[in-house]
Amino acid sequence: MSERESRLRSLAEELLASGQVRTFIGFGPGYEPSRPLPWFAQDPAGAAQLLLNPFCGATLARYLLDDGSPGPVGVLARGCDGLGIERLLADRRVSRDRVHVVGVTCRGAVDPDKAYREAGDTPLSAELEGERVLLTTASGTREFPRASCLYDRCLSCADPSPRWADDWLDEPLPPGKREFPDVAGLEQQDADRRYAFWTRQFSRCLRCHACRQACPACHCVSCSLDHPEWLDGGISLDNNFMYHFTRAYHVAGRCIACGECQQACPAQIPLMLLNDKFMRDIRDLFGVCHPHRPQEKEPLGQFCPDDPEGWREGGAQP
Amino acid sequence: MPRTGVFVCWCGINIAKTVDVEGVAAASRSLPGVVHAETYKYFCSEPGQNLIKEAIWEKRLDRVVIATCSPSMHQATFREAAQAAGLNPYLVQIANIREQCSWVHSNREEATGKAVALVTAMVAKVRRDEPLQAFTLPVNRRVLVIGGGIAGMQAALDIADAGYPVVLVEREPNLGGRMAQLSETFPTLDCASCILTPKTAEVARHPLIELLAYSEVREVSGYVGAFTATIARKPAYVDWDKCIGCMLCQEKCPRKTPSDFQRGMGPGKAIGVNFPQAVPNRPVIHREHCTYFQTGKCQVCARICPVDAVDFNQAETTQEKQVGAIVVATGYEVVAPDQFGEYGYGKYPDVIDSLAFERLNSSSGPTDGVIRRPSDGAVPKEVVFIQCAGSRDPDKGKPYCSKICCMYTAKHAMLYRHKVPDGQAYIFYMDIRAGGKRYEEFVQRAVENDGALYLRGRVARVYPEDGRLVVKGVDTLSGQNVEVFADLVVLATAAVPSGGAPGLAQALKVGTDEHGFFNEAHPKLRPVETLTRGIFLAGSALAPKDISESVAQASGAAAKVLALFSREELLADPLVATVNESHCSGCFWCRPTCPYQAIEEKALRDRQVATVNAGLCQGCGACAAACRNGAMKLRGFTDEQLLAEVNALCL
Repeated sequence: MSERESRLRSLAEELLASGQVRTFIGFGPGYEPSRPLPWFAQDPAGAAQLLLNPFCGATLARYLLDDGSPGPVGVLARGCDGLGIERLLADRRVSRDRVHVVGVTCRGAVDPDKAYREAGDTPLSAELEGERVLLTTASGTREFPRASCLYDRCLSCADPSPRWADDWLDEPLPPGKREFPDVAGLEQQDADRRYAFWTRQFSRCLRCHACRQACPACHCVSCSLDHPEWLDGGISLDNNFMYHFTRAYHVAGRCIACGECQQACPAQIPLMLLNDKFMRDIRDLFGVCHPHRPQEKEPLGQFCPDDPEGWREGGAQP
Repeated sequence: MPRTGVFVCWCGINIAKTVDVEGVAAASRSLPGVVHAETYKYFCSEPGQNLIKEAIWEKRLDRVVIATCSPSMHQATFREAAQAAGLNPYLVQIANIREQCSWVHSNREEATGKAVALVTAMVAKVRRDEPLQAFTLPVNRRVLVIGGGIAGMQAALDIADAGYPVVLVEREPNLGGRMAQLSETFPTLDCASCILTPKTAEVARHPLIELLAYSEVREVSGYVGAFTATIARKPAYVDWDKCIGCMLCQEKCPRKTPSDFQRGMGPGKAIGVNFPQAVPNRPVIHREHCTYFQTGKCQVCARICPVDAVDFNQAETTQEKQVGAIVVATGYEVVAPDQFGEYGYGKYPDVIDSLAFERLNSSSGPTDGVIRRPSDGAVPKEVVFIQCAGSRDPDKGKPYCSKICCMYTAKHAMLYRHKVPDGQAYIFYMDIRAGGKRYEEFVQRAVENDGALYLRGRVARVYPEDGRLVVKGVDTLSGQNVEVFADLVVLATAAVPSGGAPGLAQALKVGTDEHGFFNEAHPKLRPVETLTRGIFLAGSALAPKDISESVAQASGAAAKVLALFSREELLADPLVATVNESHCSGCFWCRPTCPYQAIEEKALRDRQVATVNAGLCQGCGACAAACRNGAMKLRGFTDEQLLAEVNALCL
């Protein structure tokens, strides 16, 4: 057990025992060691089973909406969780006095599927060391490059730590800068090829709506994509395009770049490519930094009396 | 199944020339729900409207589409006709086949096809339209007039004379605005004070006008009939209630200061009034110039004051006023002349602007009306007037004509000649714009009787030589370079909106043009209204205006206010946003998109949801676009209605 993990357990135990929180959301045992699951600890015994290791993948913020407990909720927060919590606070789906954030600095999570492919066997544990990942399987421990083991979304992550927390498990790191190399690659293609690309992607969509359900920015009480005047239930290329465009527009300027949508997609549609394109454009056109910091001005939703007519590159005022 | 009637208007030949109107009517008959279609030469005419009414009765129509001109033209006409026939007016839709079709196309076949498509879309929309009812708003029959210049005073007097209370806010310590600085007025040459001071006195003693001088409007909230204005009163450091207006303080104040009012032509005092006839006749201390405020010593005014009115501890106070309408009459300023390096303004004391020349001419001015140049007090024998200093000059950002300069420059030349009979006035001009009753004759008098020499062309440079100023320019009529030796140069500087206008426009949520002048609702047909109901414009706040125009417009604005006040309740358009509470997540991202602060919170059992203040909502629809849940709907433009239109066109 790592030192951070034991600190997490004792902190969660203390929070639950003292009644400061009624539930603590973190990770707990899954059906195999490389797949820990979100874990709702409600008593010190539950807290004792909390896990904190490089296989802890899913972003936890969204689970705040699923928690039905009346009291305050504690939550483990890496950078992505932190931005997700801020998103939910800004959207007023969660109130600040009902969340107790335990911050931790994350250097990336290991994708169990990638790890399995690399190691050729079910990974039992993993350790991050600089640009290397040490994977332990039944046959021993071996070293792999970071890029071949981490989730894609972690490779472009600019937020290792949440920007604030009520308690910290370690020292936070400052945010970095997100780049969008894949967007440039897509933009170099002509319109026909891009259309063909997205047709290929969206034609696979099962319309399971997992991308929507996983997203910390996509949590309306009643989703307009469930309203029949906008979209009937049928799966067709038209409907799929409509669904994905609407989804992307509804998170444009609000996406926190956690990558949960793409991670959740059973058809492996590269949704982050679409989100990245929006993020990059909004950064370039409106000068808003990305991923969006939820309490900043909404780049696409703010009436501003001195708004310039039209827009300028770089978001400069006239 | 709705029973829709389609009425295709010829608009004389405006539509019928390019669009086969009978063809459009025939195509309409096969659209779903259409039970009647006909054409007529002018449906907006009395017989045309009767045809619509008869069809509504006889065919039992419950929806009407009129294929005609733009809805901004006659939608109200047709809605009233439908209402007279017993149909809810919001079940009438206009398909614009004139501005958006016949006027912009020439191919008859294609234009007809487009007209059919436009009708098809509106038939689809109207089926989903719901009957809507106008709602009523109570009216607070008190008006706020912002600006106590000639326009603001006129509007205030007209409204107060009709029996309604007025709150008149003036930024300066006294009424009169720009006109108080003027000497004489064109085209009659009567003195500005002589016609202004009776008005200021009338305002001051009017029982229904509450004058808040030395005050500024900071915030405005609310809507037509129910505005709340927050008004700040700047500290005068003199208790005006105690003060008896003896002006001993001004007389004894040892500190001579530059004076904005005198435009640098003479000194002011750190305490006092701008001019002896000022209303209210109460002094203010100009903190930035006062010796006591600068050094902590002096207090001569406090010692001399017979009633102990000086109060160095006075602070800004604010109050709220509830009013039903607002008249904006914030006037103009002249552009800062430091932009005119080529004319040497600021470098040579004898280059002055036209407001300064007004002060030199004014019998209550610093020179008692004798024209003396600033440098040495000599009476100038040759004066050059330069028109369009800044105006009509896109390079200096003022492409517009300031309108009043041609006339006042002619006036200046005349007044100068009357006072200095052996003097010569030269006027460099681009064009003489003297449209107005007796204006052209006035300019001719300046030329013929008073010997003003007009030189058409621009001045390139002004520089000093032997105690005089050399004005180098070109006379474009003769094509020759001209050099005039002048004792005094007067710049007719461009008129710009008064300094407080941009902030006020924001507080009022009223638009301005790129120069900062307030925008009227329609440049021709609604020149005193703004796009915000209940807010009206008067005078140069809108664009440079002379006195008679400002007064006329002020009375126009007053008439609009009185029309508003003629009822106890207002009918408000029901085309406003509404919230489907079951869909609303309560994220409130609609709120920052709303230019009118119309979105409020409402508590449900489990969450807060948005609700729309229908009085504030102007129906712009920004919130409906911002609402991801689809909870916010704009009545008359719901998703269902608009999608029906789009689907009818595209699917």
